[in-house]
Amino acid sequence: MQQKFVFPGDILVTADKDKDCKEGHGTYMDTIIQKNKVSTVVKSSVCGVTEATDKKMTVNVKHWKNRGYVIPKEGDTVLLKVTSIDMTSCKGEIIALCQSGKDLVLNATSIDKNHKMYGMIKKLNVRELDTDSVEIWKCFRPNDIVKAQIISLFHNYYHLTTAKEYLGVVMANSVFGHKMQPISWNSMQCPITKTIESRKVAKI
Amino acid sequence: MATSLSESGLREDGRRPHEVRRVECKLCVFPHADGSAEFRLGATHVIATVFGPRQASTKAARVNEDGATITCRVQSCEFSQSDHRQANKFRRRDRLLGDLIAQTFQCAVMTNLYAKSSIDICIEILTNDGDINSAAINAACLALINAGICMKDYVVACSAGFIAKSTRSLKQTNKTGAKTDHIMFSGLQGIVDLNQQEKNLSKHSSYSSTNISEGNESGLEMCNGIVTVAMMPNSGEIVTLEMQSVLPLSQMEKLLSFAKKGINSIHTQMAAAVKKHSFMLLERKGFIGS
Repeated sequence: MQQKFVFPGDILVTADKDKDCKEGHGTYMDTIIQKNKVSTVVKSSVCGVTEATDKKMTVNVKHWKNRGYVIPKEGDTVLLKVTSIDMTSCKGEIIALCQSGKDLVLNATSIDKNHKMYGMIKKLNVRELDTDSVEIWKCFRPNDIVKAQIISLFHNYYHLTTAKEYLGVVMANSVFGHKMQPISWNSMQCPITKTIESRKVAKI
Repeated sequence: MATSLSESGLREDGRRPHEVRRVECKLCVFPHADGSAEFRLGATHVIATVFGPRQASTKAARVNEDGATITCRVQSCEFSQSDHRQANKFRRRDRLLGDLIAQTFQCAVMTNLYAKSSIDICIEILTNDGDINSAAINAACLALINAGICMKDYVVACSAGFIAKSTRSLKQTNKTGAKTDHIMFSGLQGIVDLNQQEKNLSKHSSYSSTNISEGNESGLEMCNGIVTVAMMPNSGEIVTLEMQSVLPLSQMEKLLSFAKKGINSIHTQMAAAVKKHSFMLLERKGFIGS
């Protein structure tokens, strides 16, 4: 199928009895009545260029803005860039999102420049055990990249948790600006200055 | 009384009955918005901007797992109308129009794709020369297409109404000697895309309907309604139907067929504008050879 320019509502493929068709991105299924016959068709829902199709007759319509529209759900894993910390919580921007059972979606669309999504890790959700003695400043610092899981959506912030072995800081810079390496579950070391800083480190 | 349709069958502004005013569409007029469009219908001038899908601002919308919430805010400029009213931010008519547009696009946009988010449409009416309802809907449709939001189809709106074919007032003298006005008219003509003058005329004739002599066809005197129809032109589904006055059922179908004609001609021009804009973008991005 050659590339074609389509508008919303244009019919892309008509399904026959022997041919099966499936909707892809930017398309939807609909039934129309043509010559007193009800037939299933795939219609375009955005205006753009049709993409190559496979044997199952999947049609994708690519819009130039090409936005993936990912909406975080409970249980999804996200990467949080910490922007501020205080005594009780750590706040930041969500920079990437991995929906359960799917690949990592970087620069998810809802996470574009105009509409940022924010996450918050409360003191109680930093680790599983010994939650009372958690000190936020010993676990996260601004500019850290933290792998976390979404608990719920509250007001403008997504509530996140790092209370799992595999969740926590994945990337951090030392005070001297070098990328640190993890040495234990609660500390990271700068490879050049050899200083040790405490973090809640993720096991990767 | 002014004649609404000339002897040769032309309207006051020189259009034929089934002719719409000059349509002018422009996409992407505000680069900071996700999608924007400018729509002119004759002198009527509307600008629409779309923000979203983005995280909803109200909690009710944010927990809505089934789909996106569409909100619409309409603002008409003080200078948009012939009567300069005092600035009132929450004018009733604007709010009603906002609700109408939001409802229209709630069924046209595939909201199930954008759960927990909101799509905000902002409409600015710069000049009101009649038929702002349909101009606003058309502008919003273009802005949504420009934003790349999945829609089932175009949503195109147009208004239609009836005006008297030719009216003449005759001064007649009764047996008693008192002079009375008699308005002669030879039936009604359906017209599409009413401008402000025709709209007022249509309203005016509804008042004078009591004067119309009884000899004419009964039922006709009620036929001065205006309807605004929003339709998906490809599938022919009616999305919104707004009536501004009482109309007999027999005339409804006639009026709808008139509106459909108007919608089709507006649709072709809107589609051409979208195509032109898209090709320009595609060329710039290098998808197609220059």
